[in-house]
Amino acid sequence: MYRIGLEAFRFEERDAPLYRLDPRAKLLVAFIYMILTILANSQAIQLLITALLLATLLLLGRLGRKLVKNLVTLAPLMTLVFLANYLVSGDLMASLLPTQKLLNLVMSLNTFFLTTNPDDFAITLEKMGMPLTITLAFSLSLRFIHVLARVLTEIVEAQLSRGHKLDSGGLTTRIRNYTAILIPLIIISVRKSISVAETLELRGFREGARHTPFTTMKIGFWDVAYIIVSISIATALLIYGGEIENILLEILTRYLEDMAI
Amino acid sequence: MIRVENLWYTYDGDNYVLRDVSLEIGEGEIYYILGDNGSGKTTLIRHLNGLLKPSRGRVLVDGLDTRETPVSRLAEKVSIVFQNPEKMFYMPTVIEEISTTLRNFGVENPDQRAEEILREYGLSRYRDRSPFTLSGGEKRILSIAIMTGWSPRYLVLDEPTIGLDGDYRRRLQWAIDRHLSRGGSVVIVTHDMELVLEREGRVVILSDGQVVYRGYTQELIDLDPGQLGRYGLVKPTYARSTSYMKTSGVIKDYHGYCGVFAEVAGVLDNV
Repeated sequence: MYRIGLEAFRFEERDAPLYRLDPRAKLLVAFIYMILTILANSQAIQLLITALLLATLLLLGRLGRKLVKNLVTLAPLMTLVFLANYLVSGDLMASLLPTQKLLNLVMSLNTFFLTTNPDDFAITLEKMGMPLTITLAFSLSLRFIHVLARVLTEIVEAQLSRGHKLDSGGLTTRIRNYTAILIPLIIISVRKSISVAETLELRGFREGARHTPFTTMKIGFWDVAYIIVSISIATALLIYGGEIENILLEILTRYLEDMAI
Repeated sequence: MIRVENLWYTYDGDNYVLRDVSLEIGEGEIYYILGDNGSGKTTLIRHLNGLLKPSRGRVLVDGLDTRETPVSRLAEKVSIVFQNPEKMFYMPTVIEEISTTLRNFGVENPDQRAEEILREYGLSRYRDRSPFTLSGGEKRILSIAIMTGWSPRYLVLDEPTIGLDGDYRRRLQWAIDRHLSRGGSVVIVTHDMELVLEREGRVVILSDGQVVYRGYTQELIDLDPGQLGRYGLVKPTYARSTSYMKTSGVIKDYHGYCGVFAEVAGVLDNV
């Protein structure tokens, strides 16, 4: 399960249209979808946003298998959000809305993070005027997820091989069992981060020094098209959300009536 | 006996890192798994105690199918010492690190047994130190001490000689010999041809997830260095001389390099 979770949010290079888009365009569109998700308070609109994001990730990103892993990982949190809301409000449909919002927020971020190389992400931040130290720390952290995932797998395997049972006993015993994973993970992570810092110094990295990025970015036709289409959809949903909801509800009611007949 | 039958394995569902691998590891024997980086050696040994389940084929450990048997039960029989020993440490002291594992496997008098193990492996002076503060060689020997404590039937060592100097290398040899003398089997994954040629045993060479060579350590002496080089292996100088001595009739056969020196000494004696 932990392996699925770690793989679900990891960047992997792939030949798909979404991967070829400029990171700035993808970041902008991700933010548009996030704002739309936060503003829209109708389940029908949220459902439409989910459909749009699914289409983007599946058709433009070819991320089918990854998306399944993503949803499997997210399922416990979504269930928790739904149950917490249901316990407080007692309304089934009203509890569904925050769960949908959570799903759409994660999927919006996925359109950017699953399809953008951490190095390109650092350059994007730099182009947006962030200092190099911050962008480097950010991109190193993203790349570190992959390293930590591998270390974690190896630690779990080493502990299982020496007869350590991770999922046995009551809650407190289970929490205690996981110290066998956390202690080596923390120590190895700290050591790795120290070695990265030393390597940067050895390679002449200095704060405030000017540098030239290896790759340059250029907004092209498809980037502009991606932004315009997304903004148009978002605006349409915000302005005509009520009407769209009514139409969708009408279709649904008719369908249900037909089914009843 | 460990039987690996037509084992195929893929991590991502598309690319197979092991392809139709079959082998048998008998009791009391030493088995070497060789091959270049990324050939699938470590993936193969992770199947031996059920950490990975075959995508196709099966692995049987003393008749137990690894797909149906929990890792905790298989780990009692198959002990794997991984390349980086630090990943297994989490207790505050060396002695607790050993005794905890003995408890995991239900060994009687674990504390007393842990003290004995410390003495046997020459680690008594580090008894109350944190395992993380030990040197690379000491950590490796400690990991072997931990993983042999409950006398598992099969001991699997992943690249055991990396970072080991003379003294620790001798202790490693001692641990291997002792395990073999007690009737256990040893599986060694390595690039270190000197280690391989020190004992007679069976060998498989993996390349790109497939078994490309099967044989015995003595036969490796006769292999062309170029052929070994293709699998990321380097023939030691004495092995090349041995090969030359064999073809030119100075020695009759290869029985470990100590045997070769004894035979050469005999020849020189006669001269």
